Amino acid sequence: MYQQRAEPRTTDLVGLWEPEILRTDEKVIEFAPEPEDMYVVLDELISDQVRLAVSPWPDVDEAGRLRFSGSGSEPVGFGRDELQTELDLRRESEGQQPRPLRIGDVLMVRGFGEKTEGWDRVLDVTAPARKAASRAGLRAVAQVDESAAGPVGAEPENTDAEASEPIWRRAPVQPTPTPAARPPAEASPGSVSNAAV
Amino acid sequence: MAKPKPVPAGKLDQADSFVEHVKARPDALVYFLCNVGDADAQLVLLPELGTPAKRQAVIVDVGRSDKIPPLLQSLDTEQLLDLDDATTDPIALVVATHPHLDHVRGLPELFALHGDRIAEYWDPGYYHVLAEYHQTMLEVESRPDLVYAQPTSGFRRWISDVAITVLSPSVQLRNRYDSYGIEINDSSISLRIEFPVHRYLEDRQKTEEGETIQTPPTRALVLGADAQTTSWSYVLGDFPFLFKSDTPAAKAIAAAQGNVDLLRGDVLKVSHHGSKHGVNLELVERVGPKVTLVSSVGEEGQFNFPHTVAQELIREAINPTEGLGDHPLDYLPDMNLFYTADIDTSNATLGTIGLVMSVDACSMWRFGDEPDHVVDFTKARRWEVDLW
Repeated sequence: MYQQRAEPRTTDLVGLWEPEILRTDEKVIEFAPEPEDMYVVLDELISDQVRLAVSPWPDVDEAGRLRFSGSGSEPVGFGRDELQTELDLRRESEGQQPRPLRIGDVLMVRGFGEKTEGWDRVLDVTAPARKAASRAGLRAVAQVDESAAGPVGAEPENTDAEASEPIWRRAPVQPTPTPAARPPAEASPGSVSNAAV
Repeated sequence: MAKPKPVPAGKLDQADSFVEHVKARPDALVYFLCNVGDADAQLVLLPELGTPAKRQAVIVDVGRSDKIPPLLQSLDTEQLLDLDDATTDPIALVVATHPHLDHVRGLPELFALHGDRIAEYWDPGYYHVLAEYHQTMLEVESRPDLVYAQPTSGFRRWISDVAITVLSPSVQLRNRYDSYGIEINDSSISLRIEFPVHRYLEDRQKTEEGETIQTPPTRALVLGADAQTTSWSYVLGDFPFLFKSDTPAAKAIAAAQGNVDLLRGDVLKVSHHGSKHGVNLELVERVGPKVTLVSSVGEEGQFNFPHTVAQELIREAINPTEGLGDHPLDYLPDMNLFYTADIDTSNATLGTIGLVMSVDACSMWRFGDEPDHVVDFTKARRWEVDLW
């Protein structure tokens, strides 16, 4: 056996995942996660039945990866119409766009139970969750250029406002071409990337 | 759905020892379709190979967290697999057919317990938001020596004495499923596992001496994962059976390939727990299985698997009745269509299905386990007749 990919970089947990959740008008929804919140995935959708996969709200590490503790997800069945009706109401009340259920939808549910009547707060976090999933897949297979962030644990050289952001929110540093260098070729989007994600 | 008919209790016999039976057949491939309810968990024990002779395991889906690891341990205890073998990775390959919870729920645990024993890991490259997907990709990232691949149709891998061909997803789907544009079930990795394959080389050597290639008989399993109609439509195109064409050119090409249907399988693990979108008539006709297996609950499942229409088309493919008018729905067990949810006429659970397959014979064993029970070899009962 020989090494297939780069050595993983050790990263510490930052805390509970705080995704940026947008309203339809693109304003940010205020959300401070609590340890009892649930990460709820619409995992399967067949005819009039939905399978949700429910797990504790994840932590996030310094590299932006979601870290799920415990024993993973529990499957919970719901009727499609019941869930659709409930989510239409919840999304509207939070200023999010009502839309048909889709496999891959992700919800933050506070007060989760097997009946929607008891749910306290529901937020559609599908967009940031999908980005996190694609990040998990891409990080696993290819070395990530984190030169902009510097070594993990080191003090960042820049102290401006952007540098105080977690590394996964920073804009990538643009390389400075040397005068003698040829103009860089336009970068390929990369073969491991799924363009629409 | 149509609940599977109870199997006559007298069809199974506990007289033989499953372990001794396997040990006496080093050339046999052993296939376990575990009873995990509406989920999938499969283990293929490859034929013995090498000196000293040893077996390796291929694991296809881990839909529960408490089934495959104890099975691996039992195989090790009975010396059918050496989990501590330092010279050969005892788990040659793990395939996560697609990242639905009922297929990957136990994957993080498998990696945690046996990650250092796994040589290779395949998934379809479908990013899913599930916690288990994140956990598994962290395991992959943490093991830079693990071979990781996202295979598509036509990819073929030889392990031990076995050829594993990826039937789906078609690369045409792979390049479209930007994670969410293609239905997740249609990202499924479906496999055709054929054995033994080493004899081809022996015959090629004869050919160099002027003799005709004699393709020796092989056996094959087709493991359908959860692929749906869209995916199977690509499979039927990617693996054509030109012999059925009426054009002379197509027939000539097929004849040059031995008139072998590339989808032929002696055993078919039906896709998607017997759902109405998991199989179609032409597919089952092309596979032409002698044994057809379904992993599902028998009743009271959330999605009502297996669906009656799927059961009917399997029966129609295996035992055509068109033109015969009314026909009975009595296709169990003479059709060799079995369910992990089978019970017998004394209401005993039959549980996990084990097939011990060689070119000349195939015995079926049932282990009597419920979905949350381990596979206990001492409880194995053998089907009264071999399936071939």
